[in-house]
Amino acid sequence: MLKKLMKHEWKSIGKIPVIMLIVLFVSTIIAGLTFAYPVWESETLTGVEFLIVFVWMLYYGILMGISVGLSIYLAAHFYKSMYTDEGYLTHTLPVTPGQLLISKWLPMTGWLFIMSIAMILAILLFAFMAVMFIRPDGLTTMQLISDIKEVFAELGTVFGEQGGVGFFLSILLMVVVSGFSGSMMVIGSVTLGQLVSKHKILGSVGAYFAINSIVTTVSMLAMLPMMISMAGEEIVSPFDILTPTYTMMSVVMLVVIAVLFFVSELVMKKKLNLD
Amino acid sequence: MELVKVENLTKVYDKKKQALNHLNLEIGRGKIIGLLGPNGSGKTTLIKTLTGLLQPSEGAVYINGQKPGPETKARVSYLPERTYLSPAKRVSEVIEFFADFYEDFRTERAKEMLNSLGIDEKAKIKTLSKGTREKVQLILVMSRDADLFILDEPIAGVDPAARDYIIKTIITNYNENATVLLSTHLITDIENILDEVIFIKDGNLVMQSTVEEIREKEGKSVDAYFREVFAC
Repeated sequence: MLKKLMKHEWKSIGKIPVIMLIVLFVSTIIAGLTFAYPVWESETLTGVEFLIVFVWMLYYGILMGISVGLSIYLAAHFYKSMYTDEGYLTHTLPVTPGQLLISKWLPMTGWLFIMSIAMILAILLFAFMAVMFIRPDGLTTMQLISDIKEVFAELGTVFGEQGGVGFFLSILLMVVVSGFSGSMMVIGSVTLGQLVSKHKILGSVGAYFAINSIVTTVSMLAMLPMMISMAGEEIVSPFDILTPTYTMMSVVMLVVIAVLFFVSELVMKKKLNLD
Repeated sequence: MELVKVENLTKVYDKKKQALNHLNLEIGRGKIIGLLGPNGSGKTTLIKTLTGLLQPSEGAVYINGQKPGPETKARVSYLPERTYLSPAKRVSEVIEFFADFYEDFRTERAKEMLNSLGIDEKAKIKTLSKGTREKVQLILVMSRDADLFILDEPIAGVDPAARDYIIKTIITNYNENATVLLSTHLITDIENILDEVIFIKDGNLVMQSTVEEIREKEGKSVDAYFREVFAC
């Protein structure tokens, strides 16, 4: 049943994010093409120059809009399919609350990851187009690519020498775990908001801020003993601090995921009251 | 074993409004039962508790001896008083959805009924009129071979022709081992198809009786008796 739930959930939430992806890449290409006109050589900001600056600002707005918009859309979709009229069908399916939660959580997280990667790729594409248009004469594309490779190779050497591999892994772990915990926090907040008899959406927003505050406080408290023990030690590289910090943050987020999943499942089992 | 058992069921909203008050009843198999009562009597609350959409404040409900859960939901076909289909989906997608989740869903039966009403399977739910959406929902619900059909106000707010269609659909599609529990306050329209009635008022069971008994003992139609019992 979980497989079927996931299949329908992917289909159900996919349309809007796909449109967002198309808008993201089309706007990136349009914004990148503006570098064909050397606006930086102009002394005035009229006509074409003004239009180009407007396009850049619009592009920035689109990036921000997509980033925030996707989270809001996913939260709204979850709320709608679980706790409004559509919930009458969702909660009468022959599945367990745990299966329902997983089927909502994983596609939600999946889209957050896909969009994050797409954002990074879009910004890289934008930067690449900018460099291609404003590069000094004589710099070929092959040379440019080989220069970029060199920079990454140097970064790799620096990281490898000073415990950077551990640092890199700790960041990777944190990014992955925070994606999962971010969506679980949305699910947990919306579900906890249902315990409020009236103004359930307001209750969900309140729950989100409350959970966020608790997570921040717990993260700081969890890291305190580690920081104290480190105070007396000799710090060889910044990674000595950053790696355990990020690892600890990942552990806290894993605990957050487990707690919120358990609480949400409990609310759906024992306290579900659809109006 | 009775199909449905309601034991000491109490539901209190917001710690003050008592919707159901220590309700006890049993429902057998192979019947069409009218759940009757004035507005606010607790019909929908009872139904939502049976389907697991509401949790009891006290007491319990059992379907096939089990509390509401995945096992009972697999055997209960529920038509709520509102549209629960996503407006963005097509009729064909909703059929696929039901077929995926309910083993007892009969796709061919659903398609036949849709065809007979001229409803386009490719149409999006949001493009359908309110009445057509209700018909699509009824078709989906009645295309299952469930043990218990729970229909909450299936004929409220629809025109007389649609009412006739709905009643015909209920009679034609339910199998004789299943039970149909339908709530309504439009008794005249459904009286002829009912085997039993349950009267509830202010969350209390007023009576549970066969339609024949009412006619014999009271010498009245169910509608007339209802008006007498619930006279304001």
